[in-house]
Amino acid sequence: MLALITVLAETASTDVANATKEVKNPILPTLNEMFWALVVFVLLWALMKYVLLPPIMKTFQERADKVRDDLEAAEAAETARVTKLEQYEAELAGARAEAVALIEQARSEGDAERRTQITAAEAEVAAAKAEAAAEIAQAKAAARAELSGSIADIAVGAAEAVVQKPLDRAAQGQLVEDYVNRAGSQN
Amino acid sequence: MSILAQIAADQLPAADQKSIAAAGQAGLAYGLATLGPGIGIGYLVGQSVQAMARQPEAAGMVRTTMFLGIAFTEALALIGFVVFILLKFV
Amino acid sequence: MIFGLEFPPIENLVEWPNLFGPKDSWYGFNKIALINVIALVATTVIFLLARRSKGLVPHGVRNLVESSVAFIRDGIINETIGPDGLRYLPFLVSLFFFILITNLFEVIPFFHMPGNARMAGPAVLALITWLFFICAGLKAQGPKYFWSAVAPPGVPWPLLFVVVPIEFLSTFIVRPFSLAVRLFANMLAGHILLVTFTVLCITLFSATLLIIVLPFSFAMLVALTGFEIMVAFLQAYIFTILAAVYIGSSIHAEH
Repeated sequence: MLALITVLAETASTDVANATKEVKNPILPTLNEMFWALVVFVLLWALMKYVLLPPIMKTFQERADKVRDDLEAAEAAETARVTKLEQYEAELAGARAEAVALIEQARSEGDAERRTQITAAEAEVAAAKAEAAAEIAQAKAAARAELSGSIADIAVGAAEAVVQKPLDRAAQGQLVEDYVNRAGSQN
Repeated sequence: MSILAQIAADQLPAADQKSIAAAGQAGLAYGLATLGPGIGIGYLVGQSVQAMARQPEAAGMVRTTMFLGIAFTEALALIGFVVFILLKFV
Repeated sequence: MIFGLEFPPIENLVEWPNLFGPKDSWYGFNKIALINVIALVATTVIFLLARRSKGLVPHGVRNLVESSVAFIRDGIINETIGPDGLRYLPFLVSLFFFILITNLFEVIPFFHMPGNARMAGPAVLALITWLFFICAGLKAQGPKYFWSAVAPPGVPWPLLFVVVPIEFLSTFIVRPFSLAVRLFANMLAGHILLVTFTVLCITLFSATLLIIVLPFSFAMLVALTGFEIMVAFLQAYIFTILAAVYIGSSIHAEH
């Protein structure tokens, strides 16, 4: 292989030498420069592929991993925060509902208490009223009886005194009674 | 060009008349080779600037494509330059 | 000698004698080879330095290396090949760093010679890329890669007689050629431009009245140096992204 390259190079270089005897051509590539460029570039390529570039790519990978991990951690923290918030909100809502229930209960208890008290008071009032009415009726009857008795006595006494003769007290009493009842029913 | 050739002819020995003619042709070749690519690159860059101004979010893509287009258009002028070198020095 | 300007012949600008090895031998080690070797050593040293610092947050050299690799991964591979192109990362990273550092020797003092201003480096890189995308296509699609590369689907069959030769030419001939010529011609043009202004500055540095032009010429030289640094980066980027595009087009059959 090396011999072949050498032979090729010899012929090419003699050609170039023959050509440059007459005209200098600044365009055409010269073999030694091509050889060195090829060697150096292939060496650089191999170095880049196996030695120089892998650490850089590893750094990129690590950085990408770290960014991704951090992002995931941040997302997890965000999720935890949201769930905790929801939990707090649920607890808060429960407490509020409990408070409302307590207030409602208190209110209903108060209502019931008031209602029983009102009922008791009304009953008492009604009892007092009935007692008073009974007393009044009794007093009225007593007064009426008393009154009718005394009026009859007075009227009979007056009539005895007028006629000067004893009257049938029972018949006259009956008469006065009727009269007083009639007069009582008129007022 | 002709003035340059005249002055060179005054100063050079008569044996170099061929290279004088070659120099003139080389100048003409390179001058002609610049015309088309000059117009082409101007138009290309102008249109790219317009595209970037209209859609600044696509500027990166437009810039890459612009450089590619410049590279392709410029090749003609550079071949003209190579012809210039060949005519002048070979 | 034009207008009293002593412009050196182009052989003096780009051709270098061998440091060792006989003249015109196949292993002659000259300045271009030295630049290539320095690019290899510099890339290795940068990557090894990047390895030394530990921790998840990058600093200094490691930041540079990691952002370059991430740029090639995200800005080049993901946009042209797709996520399955990650196994081509070593090839593309070495392409990028090799081309970038050899290009940057255009403005590094005491060298002032882009390694890619000789056709040899770009030709070798383009040939390797050419082999690489053909092998990637064969590995991804098998032998039918050669047919799918030259025959776009949806073309009526009589047109294939026209399309197939054109596609063959553009895929297998023009691609490596244009890759090499683009890099080489850009760097050679930049080199000649810098040399021209340097020669102009040296010529104007005289006791004549022309010295009043010197500051402008020197300012132009400084500005062009900055421009060439940008070109060095841009050409490394373009070579790498074109290699990625070619690999992507050969591992994904067009549909």
